[in-house]
Amino acid sequence: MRFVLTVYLVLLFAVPQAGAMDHVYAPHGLKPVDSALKVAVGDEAPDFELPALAGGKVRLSDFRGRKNVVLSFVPAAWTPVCSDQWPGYNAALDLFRQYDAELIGISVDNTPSQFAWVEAMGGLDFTVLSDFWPHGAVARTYGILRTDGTAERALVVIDRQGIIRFVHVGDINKRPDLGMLVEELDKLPK
Amino acid sequence: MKKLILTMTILTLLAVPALALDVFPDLELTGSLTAEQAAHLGVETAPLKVSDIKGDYLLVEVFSLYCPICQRDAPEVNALRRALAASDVGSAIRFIGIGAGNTPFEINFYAKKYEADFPLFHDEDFVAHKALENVGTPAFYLVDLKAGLKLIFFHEGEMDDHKVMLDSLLKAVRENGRE
Repeated sequence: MRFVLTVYLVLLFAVPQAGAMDHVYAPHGLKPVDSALKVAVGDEAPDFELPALAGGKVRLSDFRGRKNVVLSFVPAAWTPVCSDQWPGYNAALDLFRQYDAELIGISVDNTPSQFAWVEAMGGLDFTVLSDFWPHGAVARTYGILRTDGTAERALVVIDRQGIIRFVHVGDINKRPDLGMLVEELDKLPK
Repeated sequence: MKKLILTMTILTLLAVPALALDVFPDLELTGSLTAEQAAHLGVETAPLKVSDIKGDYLLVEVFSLYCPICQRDAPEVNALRRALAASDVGSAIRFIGIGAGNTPFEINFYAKKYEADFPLFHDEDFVAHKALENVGTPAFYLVDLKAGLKLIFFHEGEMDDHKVMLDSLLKAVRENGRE
């Protein structure tokens, strides 16, 4: 009888959700910013090479002389704000292209986790890099690695010469306004 | 055994999907309206309260630029809006969107990208979204404007097919007793 009730309870509450992203982990009470920035506007952006979700590796300096770059660091896969920030950017890719900017998303998750997460979000059409190993090394270089090993929610705009033109380390619990980012892209040399 | 059946019955009743709210909150809606949109709502300008909107019924979509389902659903929402307008109760129904957590820039971008030319209001601080009990997006509410904002239909999640949603909305209006 207990078995029947248990099976019934499992079936009863296994109600299908609107989408896989309903199953994200919801962190609570995170310190808004938990790191000390090591780069500033006017600095040459520290170069890095990281594995890409699409395969192979991507080096920041490969864009030098060719394209502006927007680095979007997010704290972790499968968390609520990150899971809507990137789909929003994906919808806005035309805006990035309008400013000849390559959008690069970076998280400290490993590539298999990123793969599952991005699939659950319905796919992304921009470059996603894994800063998993050495753990958070790029985030640490930029001074945006938090004490719990996740990255800050940060945006870095780098011009074609490889110079940082904008850095925003926002409250990890909030999504930055897309309008603010576009305003900064608009200031880049044409 | 009787105890088990009673327990299962109670749990089943508790698990039946129900409207999240009985009455739609009289939210303050902030955004910019074109003259045509203001005329559609029977108001002068924004900000406005839901109760300021003139009409028999109001269909509200809670959406977000950042919600992949909303992005995917946007063409269906437009089709629904057109089908509703062409239906026999079309002239009685108003249609608005509330962008949960979306700034004015994001709302404008969404409107342009997804050709959403109905009145869209921003809610960057999630005030409206909290009043709607943090509903998942997209969500659709059909409100009886002439009965104290009584909620007569609610759907949370992807619409899939606007024709199915249209039938559900028209049924809700019919069953509400005023067409």
